[in-house]
Amino acid sequence: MRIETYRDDFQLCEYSLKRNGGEIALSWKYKGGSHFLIFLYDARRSFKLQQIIEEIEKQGHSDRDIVRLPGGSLHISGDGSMKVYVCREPEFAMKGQCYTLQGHEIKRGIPYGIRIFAAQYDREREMLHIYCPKEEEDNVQYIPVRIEPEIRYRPVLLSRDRICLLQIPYMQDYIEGALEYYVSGVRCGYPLSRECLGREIQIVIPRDAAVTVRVADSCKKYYRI
Amino acid sequence: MDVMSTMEERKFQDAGELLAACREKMRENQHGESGGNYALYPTVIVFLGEKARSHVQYVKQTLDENWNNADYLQYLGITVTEKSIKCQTLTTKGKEITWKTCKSTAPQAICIAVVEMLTQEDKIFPDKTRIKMEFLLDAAEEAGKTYYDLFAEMSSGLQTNDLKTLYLMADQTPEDKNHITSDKLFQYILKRRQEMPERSGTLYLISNYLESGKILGEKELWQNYRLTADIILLGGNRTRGKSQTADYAAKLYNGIKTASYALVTKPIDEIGTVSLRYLLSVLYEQERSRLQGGITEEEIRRRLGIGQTNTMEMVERLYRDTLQKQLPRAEDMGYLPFMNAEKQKELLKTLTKGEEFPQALLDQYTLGVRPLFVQKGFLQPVEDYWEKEENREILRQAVSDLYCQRFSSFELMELSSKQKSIERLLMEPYHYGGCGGKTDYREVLYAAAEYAGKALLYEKVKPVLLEEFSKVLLQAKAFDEQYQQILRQLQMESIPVEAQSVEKKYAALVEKYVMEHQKINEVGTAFPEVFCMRQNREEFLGSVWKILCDLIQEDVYRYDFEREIEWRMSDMTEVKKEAFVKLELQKSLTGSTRLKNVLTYGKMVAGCFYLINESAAYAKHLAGLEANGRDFMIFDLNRTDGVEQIEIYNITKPECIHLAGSGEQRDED
Repeated sequence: MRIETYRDDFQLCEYSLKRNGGEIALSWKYKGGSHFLIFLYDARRSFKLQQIIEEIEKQGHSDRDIVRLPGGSLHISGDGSMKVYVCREPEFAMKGQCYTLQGHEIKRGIPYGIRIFAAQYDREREMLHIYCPKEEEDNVQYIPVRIEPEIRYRPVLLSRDRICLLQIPYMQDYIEGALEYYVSGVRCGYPLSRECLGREIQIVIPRDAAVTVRVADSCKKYYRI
Repeated sequence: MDVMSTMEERKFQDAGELLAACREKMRENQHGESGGNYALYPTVIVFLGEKARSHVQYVKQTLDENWNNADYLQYLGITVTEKSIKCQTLTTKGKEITWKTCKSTAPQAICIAVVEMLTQEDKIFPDKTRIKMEFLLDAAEEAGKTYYDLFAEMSSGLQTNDLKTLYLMADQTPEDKNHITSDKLFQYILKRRQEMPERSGTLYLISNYLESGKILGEKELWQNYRLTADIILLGGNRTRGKSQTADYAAKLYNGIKTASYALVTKPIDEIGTVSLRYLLSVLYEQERSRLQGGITEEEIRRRLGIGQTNTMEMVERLYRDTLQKQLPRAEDMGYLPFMNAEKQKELLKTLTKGEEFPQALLDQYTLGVRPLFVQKGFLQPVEDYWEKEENREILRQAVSDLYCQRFSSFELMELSSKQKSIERLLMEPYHYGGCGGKTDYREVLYAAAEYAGKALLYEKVKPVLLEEFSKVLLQAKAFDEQYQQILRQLQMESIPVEAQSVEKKYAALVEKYVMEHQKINEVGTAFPEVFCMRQNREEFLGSVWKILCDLIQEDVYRYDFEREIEWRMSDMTEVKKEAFVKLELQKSLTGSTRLKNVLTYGKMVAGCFYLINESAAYAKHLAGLEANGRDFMIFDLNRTDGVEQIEIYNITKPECIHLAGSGEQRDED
């Protein structure tokens, strides 16, 4: 496989993602390409296409073999954080320009990124050319982890304050500060650490105040409330 | 008096330009009240050739200063080339002189100029029956003969009496064989005068080689052109309210003549040089003397606003004005989470007692949220602020301004010898001043968080303090070098020995002025507008110029030449003072005849003229003499900085004149 720079005729657009029950439907529009490569990966980790391709090649897959795959999983990394799928263009077109991932491919508690690349197979040279998008964040969609915080309040006798009891479920590899709680009337948010997860934490607030939980702007790809 | 209120904005490239401007300004101060003199007859002044034309300003300025109707005079320039004769008319735009080419021939141009003057109202030129035509020609011009022929054929073309005069500016120096060229032309003129006497007009022979043996160099040649202008003034003047001394003025016409010229003036050039030199020197010494005993570290800290915990006022102000409003409040620290109520109580109890609470334990009790909150709320804003190039630039400028405002250039030069220790001072870390005895745990937590934010800010600012400090030290050094260079340039201007009284008196005057006009600013600089290191050379000289303009408003600079001498030579007796001008004129006149000749040439005194402002004591003395109007004539000069005496001589034996000296072979044409 060979990575190529952006070309207008291999541009993808209107890439969208929908969750239908246990399935994940991906659809996009395209101009050209004989194949599409779909990368499903842990969004918290950096995405390095070259590295992934080298791993695939190390496993002994030739380009000729790759393009002949009936469709489906091409590669899974050792720790399961990266999965690569191949889809032939005719099949994609036949399925109404939609590619479906099964729900069981996604583990709970992990935010995923799904990148699509258009590719063109050169029969003569038996080489699969993979075309990069114009901008790195084009052709990517995210499946953030859904968080359901529990918020309760306990009054304090003879006091103008009350106690907020906040519980966030434990998440593996949680990014420090990705979630924040806000107290009404206070401008700044309070970033939550890993130690706050999976336990009840107490926050003393005014009696008439409330607490909400939000995702930090920089982490909205990974989590949602 | 605010020295900057003179509002004279000018730019100068070097000390020479500044000095020239100073002298010009002082001369302007010497203009007397507008006199009652005006040109009696329409007068056209023709410059034949480039050499004469290059001195037009000396002629024009004299006529403009003394004749009220000088604007109506006509000036022409005629230049002969191999192929043609070019004719140009003079126009002025303010003080700027330009020459505009006209399509007419030379005779036509003269006629046009004359007609232009004759069409003016009667009050402009009271006597239009005569036309004065004044021609100036440098005898070293290669085409001298052609120019003379042109002169000879020129006339007004009208039914008027033409008073035609040629001023032959002879060059008797051997450089480029000018003396030979001059002599040849003079011989040619003599021959032509004999052939066509009716076209010859009056001829003045004005040489750069004086009877005394002195040669007027390029810098002094203007005197001959001023003499020429004086003769033009004398030959056709009317003074309002006074009767015309036409008879005496007639001595200026007909035949071949030369003149002696004495000029006694206020030594403006020397006064200008001394005043400017001493001004710069005294200002410098005055500033330097303020630096007594060096600057202590304590004083540096005070001036830079460095506090006990190594805070800096400027940085604190930046923090307050720019960052603090983005930060959480102290009460917001109360919404940090705790493991449980007991842990919170434990913290409260400890802090209320005024004891310290271990950071690590605090982070543990707040489940690691406190450090994340401090990072987000107090440190990140500092990082965000610093990331912007424009913010860093503003800070850099503010630091530079601080140094320049708090230290004079001399102090900075003195500090450069202690650069390392000052850098150490600037780099001393900002340290925590404690929570100031606060017992509210939120305020205690807030103080610690704020300290973290400020520490980060100081960490970023300190390298900038160092860099800018190095820069201003270099600037101070460069400023001093520039100042010294300008002083050296002025010191190269020499003052003649006889003007030592100028140096003594004006140096003291300048020193007194500087003492009286200091206004000490907070840094101790007396003349901050001059000693501003940020100024480039042009701006610096412009600042000095403003002070200079104010200095020369002092009465002494406005004295006329008599009063100035009296003030400067106050040790002179009364008798000597009265005789001084007469003696000076006599000294100056002797040997000043504008012609050097080995043989006698029949020099006969035709007339004597004094050009002097009528307000001068010597003028009053002359006016009261019986000989006034008989042996001499007085012209009321519209300047107060000097007196001129001219003696006109008829040359009765022009054939005896050898401009190239008797040793040179004269080629016969």
